[in-house]
Amino acid sequence: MSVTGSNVFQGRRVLLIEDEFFIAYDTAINLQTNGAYVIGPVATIDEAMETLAAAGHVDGALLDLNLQGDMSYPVADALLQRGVPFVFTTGYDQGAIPPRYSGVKRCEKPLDLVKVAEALFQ
Amino acid sequence: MYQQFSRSVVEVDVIDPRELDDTFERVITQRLGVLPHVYRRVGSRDRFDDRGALWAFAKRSYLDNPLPSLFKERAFIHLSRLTRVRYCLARHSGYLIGKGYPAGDRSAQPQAITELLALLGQPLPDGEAVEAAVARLAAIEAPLGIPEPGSLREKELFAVLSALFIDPPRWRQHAEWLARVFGNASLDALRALLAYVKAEHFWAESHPDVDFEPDIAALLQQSPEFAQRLFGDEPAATLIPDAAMRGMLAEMKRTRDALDGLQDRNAFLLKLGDGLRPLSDPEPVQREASRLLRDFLRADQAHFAEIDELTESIRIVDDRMGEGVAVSPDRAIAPIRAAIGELRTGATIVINDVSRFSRFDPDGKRLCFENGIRSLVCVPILKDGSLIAALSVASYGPRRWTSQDVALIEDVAERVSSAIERAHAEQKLKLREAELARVQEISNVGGIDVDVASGFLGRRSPEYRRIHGLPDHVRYESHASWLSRVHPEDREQADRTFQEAMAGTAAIYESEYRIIRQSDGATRWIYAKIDIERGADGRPTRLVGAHTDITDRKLGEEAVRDSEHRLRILMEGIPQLVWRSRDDGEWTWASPQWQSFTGQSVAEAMGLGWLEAVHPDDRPTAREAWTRAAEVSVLDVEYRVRRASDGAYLWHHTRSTPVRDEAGNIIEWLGTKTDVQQMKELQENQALLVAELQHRTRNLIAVVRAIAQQTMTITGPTPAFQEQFGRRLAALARVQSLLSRSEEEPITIDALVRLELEAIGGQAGVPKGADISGPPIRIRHSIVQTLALALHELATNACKYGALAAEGGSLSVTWSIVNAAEENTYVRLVWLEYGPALSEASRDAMQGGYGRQLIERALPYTLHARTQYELSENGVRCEIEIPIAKEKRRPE
Repeated sequence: MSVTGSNVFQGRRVLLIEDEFFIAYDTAINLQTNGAYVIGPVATIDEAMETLAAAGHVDGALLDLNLQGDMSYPVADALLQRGVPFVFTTGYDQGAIPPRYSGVKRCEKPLDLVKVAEALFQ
Repeated sequence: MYQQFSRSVVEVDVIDPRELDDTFERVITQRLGVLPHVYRRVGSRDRFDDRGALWAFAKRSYLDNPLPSLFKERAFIHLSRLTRVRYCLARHSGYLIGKGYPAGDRSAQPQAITELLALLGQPLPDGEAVEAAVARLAAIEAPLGIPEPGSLREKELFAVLSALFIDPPRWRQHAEWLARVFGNASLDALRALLAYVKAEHFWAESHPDVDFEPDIAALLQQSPEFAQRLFGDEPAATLIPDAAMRGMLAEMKRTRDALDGLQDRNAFLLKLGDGLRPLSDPEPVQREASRLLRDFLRADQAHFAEIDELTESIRIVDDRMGEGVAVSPDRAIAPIRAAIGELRTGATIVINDVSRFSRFDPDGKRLCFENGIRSLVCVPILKDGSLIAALSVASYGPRRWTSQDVALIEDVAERVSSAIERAHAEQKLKLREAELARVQEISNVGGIDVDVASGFLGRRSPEYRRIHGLPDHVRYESHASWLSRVHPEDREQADRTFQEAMAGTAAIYESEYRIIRQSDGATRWIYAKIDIERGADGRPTRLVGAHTDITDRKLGEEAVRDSEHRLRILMEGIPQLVWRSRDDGEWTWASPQWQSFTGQSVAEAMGLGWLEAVHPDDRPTAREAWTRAAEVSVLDVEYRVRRASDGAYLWHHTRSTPVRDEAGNIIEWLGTKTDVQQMKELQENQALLVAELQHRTRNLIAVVRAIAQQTMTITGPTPAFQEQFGRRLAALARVQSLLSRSEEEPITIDALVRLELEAIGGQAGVPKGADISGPPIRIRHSIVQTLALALHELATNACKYGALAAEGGSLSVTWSIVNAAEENTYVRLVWLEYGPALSEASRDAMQGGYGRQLIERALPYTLHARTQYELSENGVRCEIEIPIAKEKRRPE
């Protein structure tokens, strides 16, 4: 199912980090539908770090802020270091995120992939 | 032969010498041939002068006495020898040999000096001689004339006269013999002569300033023999026949010797005083006194012996006194026990000759002989009635100790023992002073002694000098000097304190002030405490006291004050209500915060007064907390306290722990009350918010479910979707409910399993045939939702198609912990259905679909679980292994 008309994720390698199976499953299908090559999805910080290290080029990432009770900042730091654009996917308020991630966009669930694409690639 | 004088005596009027000195003296000179000093004027003219009376007496009883002139003069000389009145002895010796006229008789032929010397050399009569003379005279019948000069009879007469002269009443009988032999007229003349001799003796002796006349002085120079006879040291007393007479003579001699020796003795005592003064130790004092005494008395030994009656030993202070004589330094008392006993009574022992001394123990006698001592004087020295020492002076030959000797030795003993007392006292004082100095040094106290009468000039002890930094040589210091050392800021106050204490009636002066220490300029705190001695008029006479350097204490106090100040600021500054309490909750102090919050004064809050500010409903709680506090040493309670500003009761958390002393006893409690009203309100708000959130979540799920069903009624009848979507949302809602209660009620596997099975069983609860067993295992929130959904799918299938769908089927759900001790701990849950053979349709329904996908994909994805789902003919077997050790987290 394509949510946008312009295949904004066409050819993009997108890393999906989301601990909730159903959301991860649904989001992955949506991304693929929109032309993305989905890396993952993965549900934990450790898996995310391992996957990122092994993934080669990554065009962007969707990062759930809370992974099974842990804040996903280590992954965020790794992404920033790699220069990989990413968004926080969360239900939290903006204020709950540390200031050092002020440049990172936050996308509330349920996700609007158009906004995600804008945040990642524009 | 003597010429017999006629009785026709020239009558001479008594001349008043005050008017006629020259005439008087001329008359005398004419009669006597010289002017004797007894008839010279003594003193000024206005003094009573009875030379005239004496002259009248002399003429009648001596000069004009009818006895032969030479006899009279020789008798005079003889009698003068008895009493040793040297002036008379010398003067009348002069008359006899022609210096002037014998008995005032120009016609009398003076005698040769040899005759005089023979007279002077005659032994003086003793008792036996008198008795013998009287006996011989008594044998004579016929009356005799006055005997010739130098005759035996003259000697006999002189012997009897001597007795009459010394003690007339006793020899009255002998006077009768004289009358019988020489006739009454002669006896009267003899008596008159004796009377005059006595008068002139008395005259001469009572005028000690009467000196020898020039002619006599010349004679003494010309004839050493004469001088020798005149002043020779004959012990006249032994020749006096009677003890009483001897005593009297001895007394007369003593008096004379005393006069003679007075100067010598005074000189000696002066010398002794000079010798002893610089000595401060007892032994040198004794040694020096012994030496001086021995030399002065020309004795052979003198020493002090310290006597210890307890140990019966004697310690001779100085052996050197007895040169060449072995004297052991320590002797037992035993040989001289009798002597010691005598000394103990305070009596001086005088031994002229040891060999004739009967009161001595034989051993004591032997001891003396061993040491060559023949005579000795031993003076006891008593202290508080007991014998402590003796001063002995000894000679190697027999010696007649005079009373002067004894008195002198006693005097020296007395002086030395008081000198020693003084020396002991000084030594003690020195020791005490040294001790005092040490004590002062140890305690940093400086002594002070001010004699106010001498103008506040104070004596400073060494420690005082140290404290004040004064140089060592400063012993005295004035008030002004002290004041100048006081710190300028304290000076006025210090002086005023001092002056007021002096002016008032206080017995003690106390002051604290700073000084600039002279030696190093350091500022030191001084504490002075001084006794004020006051005179009868109340004015201070003497100040005795001490200065203490209290700088360290002061600095300590300052530090404590600072620290207390900081603590007070802290206690009064923190936003808590601070208080102090006794063990029973009775307050002893309340901080200003408490006062301003509750409006209670400190006095009102004291004791249990603070309870008034506590909400009436909470007072029992507040009281009860104290009874618990004693047991657990912590007070921890919450109750409401009334705020004075608006009367509102605000929740406060009271916390306190006891303050203990070093022994661990509780001194007091120090506690705080913290306003927890806001926190309480926040907690309440939070609880409300959580409840609200749950409500909304479940509502939201209900709304989603309703929208989905309504949408499907329009998009087409899809009952299967409706049914499945509906119950899955219901399961989700149940889990949310469970999660929201998880704060109070931890979520266990048991609870999850039952929740889902009960949901299927409806009102009946867990369906029949279901067997659920396993240990209580708490599970993480993040697991709950996914696991619950998986269990829901299993339960639903079991109920619709599986073991629980038909009669005779059974379900067992069991779980356990695997590898509990190891790292890879996990929970294994086994879902086992067994029942009649499943229909093809049932098997198809259970084979695929959402439930299986959830178990085989979602659980592994989300929970890293290993799952196994087997569908057989008779049922389902599903195994789920969920790691429960939390995965390692990377540091953020």
